[in-house]
Amino acid sequence: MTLLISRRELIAATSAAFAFQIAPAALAAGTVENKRLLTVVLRGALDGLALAAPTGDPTYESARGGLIVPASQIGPEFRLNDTFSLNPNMKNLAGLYHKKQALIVHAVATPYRRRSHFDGQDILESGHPAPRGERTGWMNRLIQQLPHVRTTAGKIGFAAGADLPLIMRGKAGVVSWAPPGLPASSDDTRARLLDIYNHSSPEMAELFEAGLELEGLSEATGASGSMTMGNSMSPRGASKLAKATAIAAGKLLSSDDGPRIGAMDLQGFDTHARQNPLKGRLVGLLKRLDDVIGQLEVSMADVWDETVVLFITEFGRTVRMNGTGGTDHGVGTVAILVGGAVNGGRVVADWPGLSAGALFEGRDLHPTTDLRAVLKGVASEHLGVPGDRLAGEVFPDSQSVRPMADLVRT
Amino acid sequence: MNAGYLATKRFGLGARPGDVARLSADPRGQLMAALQPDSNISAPVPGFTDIPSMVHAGRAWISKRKEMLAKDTSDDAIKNVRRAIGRNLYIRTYENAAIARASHAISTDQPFVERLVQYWSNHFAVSAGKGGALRALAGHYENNAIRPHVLGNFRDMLHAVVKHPMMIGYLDNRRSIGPNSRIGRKTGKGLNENLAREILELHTLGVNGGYLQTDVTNFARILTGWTIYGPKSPDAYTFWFRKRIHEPGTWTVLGRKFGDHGLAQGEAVLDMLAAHPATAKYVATRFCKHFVSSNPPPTLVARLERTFLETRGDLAELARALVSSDEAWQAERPKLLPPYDFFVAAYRATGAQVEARFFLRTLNNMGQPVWAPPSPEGWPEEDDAWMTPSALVERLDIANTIARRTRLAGSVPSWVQDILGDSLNQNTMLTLQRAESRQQAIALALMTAEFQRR
Repeated sequence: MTLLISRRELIAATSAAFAFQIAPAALAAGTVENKRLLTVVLRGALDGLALAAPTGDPTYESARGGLIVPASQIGPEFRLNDTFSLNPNMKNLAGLYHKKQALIVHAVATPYRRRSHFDGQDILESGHPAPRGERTGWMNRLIQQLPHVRTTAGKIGFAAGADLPLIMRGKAGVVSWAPPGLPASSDDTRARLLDIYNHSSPEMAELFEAGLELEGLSEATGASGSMTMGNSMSPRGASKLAKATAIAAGKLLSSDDGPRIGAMDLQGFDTHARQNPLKGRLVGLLKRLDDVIGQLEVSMADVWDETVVLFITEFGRTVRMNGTGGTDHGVGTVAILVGGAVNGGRVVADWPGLSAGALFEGRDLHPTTDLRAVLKGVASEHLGVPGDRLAGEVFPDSQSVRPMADLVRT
Repeated sequence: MNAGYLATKRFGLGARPGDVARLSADPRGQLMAALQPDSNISAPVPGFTDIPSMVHAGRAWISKRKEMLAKDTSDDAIKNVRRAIGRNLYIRTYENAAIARASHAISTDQPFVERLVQYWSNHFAVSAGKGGALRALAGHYENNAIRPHVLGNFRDMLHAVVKHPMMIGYLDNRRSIGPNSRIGRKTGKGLNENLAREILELHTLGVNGGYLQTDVTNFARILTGWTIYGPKSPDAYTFWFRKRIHEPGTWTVLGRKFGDHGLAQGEAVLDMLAAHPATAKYVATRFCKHFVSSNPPPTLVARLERTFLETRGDLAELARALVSSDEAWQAERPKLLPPYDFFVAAYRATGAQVEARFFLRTLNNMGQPVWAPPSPEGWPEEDDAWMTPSALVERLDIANTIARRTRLAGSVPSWVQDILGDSLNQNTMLTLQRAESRQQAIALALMTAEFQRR
């Protein structure tokens, strides 16, 4: 049931939307049918403590050691409240927070308590409490609960990317948009492959390293001959790709007769090494994330007041730094909500603290909020899906998880 | 090393889930079983019913286009043509056949047979890059001249190849005219040696096979008249022995005299070449170079050479001799998969959905478009032919894309075990387990030396 549309068709669809400004009465602003929801899956496990640091927690500095942002580096615009500060790379997010259009839920986690990316993402996207090789995603099942809306392609769901992510798979038809060229594999993927070659095939390691060097040269001279957009795997290429994807998603979701419910993802948050929050690998990732937030605000300007954008990740990272200046897989992390419909300017957290005794299994931020409470809160308040449907079909076996209230302006 | 795994690499197209386990108990026996004469060697979709009707349809497309663009050649007019009558029919036919071939390779449960089809198709290489209607014939060529004979006889394949319009067109024999033929005398036109030379050099004796320039010239004389009907004929582009351009006379090739019996004269030369000891040596060597290494063990080559001679070019026996040898199972694996084979192996392993445009574009970019090698020599067989630094980086992009389209039924580690047996070392397995997403793990697995080599 996937419909692939080309970039040209996307532009055509968008301009067609501009040509017919008179929306059907049923789609008047404020009705459920007109609401937008975009979920951005941050793959690799985002370090929630690096994004929103508990700078007011007396145990923060000792617990995080080399991973802290010094207080002197945090301008007033990044102070969220007495306890939390944003990473100074999150300029757009900070702006939205002070406009009360961004909300951060902290110490949050899915029901998953182990630390495999695959299973973690399965649970995050399937909406089931345990990994079970689920083939459908909670957003697709959510779409099935929504009233019918007339759209150009006849579909309410939308996914950006070369494939359909699990979160959007299912019975409901979904429009998908793929960026031209091959999607990039990240610096991180390259580094891991090089490690594999170094331990298995010196010859291929040498070849691969030479190839990376050549590519760097051709990029530096602008003589790129590769087929990939933004020539792929450089951080710059990945950022360009993320930006293009955000613009496409934003435009499509904001056209009158386009899809309403979308999903996209950003990769590479698995920062096992060199994670210094001010100059390490995480900086580029956070900037990319912040850039996407900024792009969405612009490209969805027309429908911003009807919009919630959710940023979720499979789990968090260890509180303490590991041996390579990074962090390993953890549990508790953040969820971020932005959009004109968000009841923002708040950090929502039942804060467990970072003292040794407070940590989950002695190493991770203890999760005190079930992510499903957040997702169910958005689904019920923003999209009007009744609680029994949410607990039954969308998030099975979640009766005990009450939807979080007041996430959305009503 | 797991012999089942090695079998899927060396004698197959890469494992589909279950293949390694199925082959492990008796890899040799199973490969041998695939070489029975009743083995399924069915062809993928041909794309058209017969050559003349395809050529006529292609020509009708061209004249229709001409007519539509007679007055207006603007970009818009060209777009309208596309909308009304589609893209060039010859190109579409070629692309459909190429896609059908890859799809068949990805899904077949006779991968060894398919490897042999690819091998012999490359031994008798043609190029769709020649253009025109020939482009559309590449798939027909493989399905009709090569495929039916891969478990049959070398002589029969050679005959089928040299009489196929694709080979005649590709190596320019269409207009090779005997100077003393009726038309030659009238027009003063003459020989084109290309086909004769390549048969001797690339298809049979090999460049050191002991032939001289006079053998080439005489063979070219003998092959005059081996042509194809013109495009307007009801038999367009099918084989035609045209007596009026055939050089009369008795000619000597490799010391043997061939009397002028028309078509039979050339057929007799082909028979001699197929049975020649130099051909046995050349074929055995090239076969081993492809399946084992650039420098194949001389004992292996000698055994296959003997098999070829003793069985009078039985190609199933040749393949059996390879599989039953110990040398062909040596653990060292110097060869990097050619791009096409990488593509096929990745899709067999992952079960990802193949998308036609992605397939065609990717193979072009990787430098191995289907049926379009750079020369009549075909794609290179040297171990390191495809080992260039930028190609390896490019493959990671492709692996990444394929990984994104993959839906595994089980966990990554069990899938890897299924596809690659126990060939990965502990560090690689750990890296795959710790990958940041399933996609990343799949892409990395497709890039391991154990996946990329055969």
